[in-house]
Amino acid sequence: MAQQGSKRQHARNEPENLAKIPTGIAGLDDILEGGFPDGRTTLISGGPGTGKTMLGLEFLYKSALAGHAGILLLFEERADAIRRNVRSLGWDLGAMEKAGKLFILEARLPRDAVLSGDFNITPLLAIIEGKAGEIGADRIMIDAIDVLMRIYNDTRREQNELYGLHDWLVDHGFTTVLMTHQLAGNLEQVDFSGVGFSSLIDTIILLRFTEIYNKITRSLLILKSRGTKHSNSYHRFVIMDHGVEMATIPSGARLSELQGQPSTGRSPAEAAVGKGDEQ
Amino acid sequence: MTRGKKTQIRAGPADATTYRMRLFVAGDEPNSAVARESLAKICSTYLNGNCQVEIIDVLKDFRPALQERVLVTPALVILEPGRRTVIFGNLADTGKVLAALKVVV
Repeated sequence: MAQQGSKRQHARNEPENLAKIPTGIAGLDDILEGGFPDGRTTLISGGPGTGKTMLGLEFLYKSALAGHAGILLLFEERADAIRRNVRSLGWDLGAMEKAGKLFILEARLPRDAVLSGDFNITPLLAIIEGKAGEIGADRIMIDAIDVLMRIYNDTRREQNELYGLHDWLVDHGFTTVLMTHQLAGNLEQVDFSGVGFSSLIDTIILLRFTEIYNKITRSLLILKSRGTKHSNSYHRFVIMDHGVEMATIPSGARLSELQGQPSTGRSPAEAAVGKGDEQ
Repeated sequence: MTRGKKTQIRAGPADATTYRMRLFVAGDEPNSAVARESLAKICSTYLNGNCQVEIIDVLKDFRPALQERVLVTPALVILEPGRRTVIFGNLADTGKVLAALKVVV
């Protein structure tokens, strides 16, 4: 742990010169000036159906295609549902798993779990570290972090554990994408789960539904991007048949596509973003 | 594989039921130490010592934890009697452990 920690010490001390790794999402890399910060943490916040999981999955999938292995931790949805949902986009997660480019851990606590006394998430971390070593994964998506933290059932404890987990991820050199339902549409509550956590995070992306010309569309706001002169505008995006695509609004050519794509649509691509079997 | 040694504690012959369990710990973490002690006490006090406990350290090998979907420690997997049950936590709440073991006190 110590050696890997020093590997990232440089990045920790100089947050203004963050190396970026591509998100794999058309247009998003431009907005983020290169992508997600390498070896650091990006928080993606949004309510149900806003496209959080989709953004993260595209990052992991495109990374895997490019030969960079990743880990997906699922605390809500079933792995099978995710695999099935993205098949309509032509994404074969199973093939990536077989190729050793993706490891999916369905990490839901059983509903009938008996709790007796205090506990730690040490095995979860041991599994992440072990599998990352096996497949050479350097990127990880946690969907969703607030669901994981809920197991503590104690706000104070959640805050401490969140700091601990964040440090652990940075020390192990992971480029992390944390999904959260909190902050959804609420700009005042940037500090989810306790004061100061967001100051540790280098990039915060807020996803929400916005109304445009009487249509609801998905949009994305960069709340924070350390070391980047990011824009303060909402960027509309659409879920196309091949994945997420940023749209230029209001004058862009993609407007027609947006208007033709209501969020309640049942196109395969739209269905893939929904909660799948959970609904 | 670095599974821990099996510990057999037999105190009294009164009840023939054997409790087969697997205790997942994380090295010497305080919660893991508490769980070992709690379980030893429960075995001798309530189960006539008829306990077969396999102790598995997730820090030595992550694979058993992955296989059994044990993501927090301590975790007690009850294999027998009855159907597989998992108790998470340091087992400090004896009442809950006994309820899961279906032991009436």
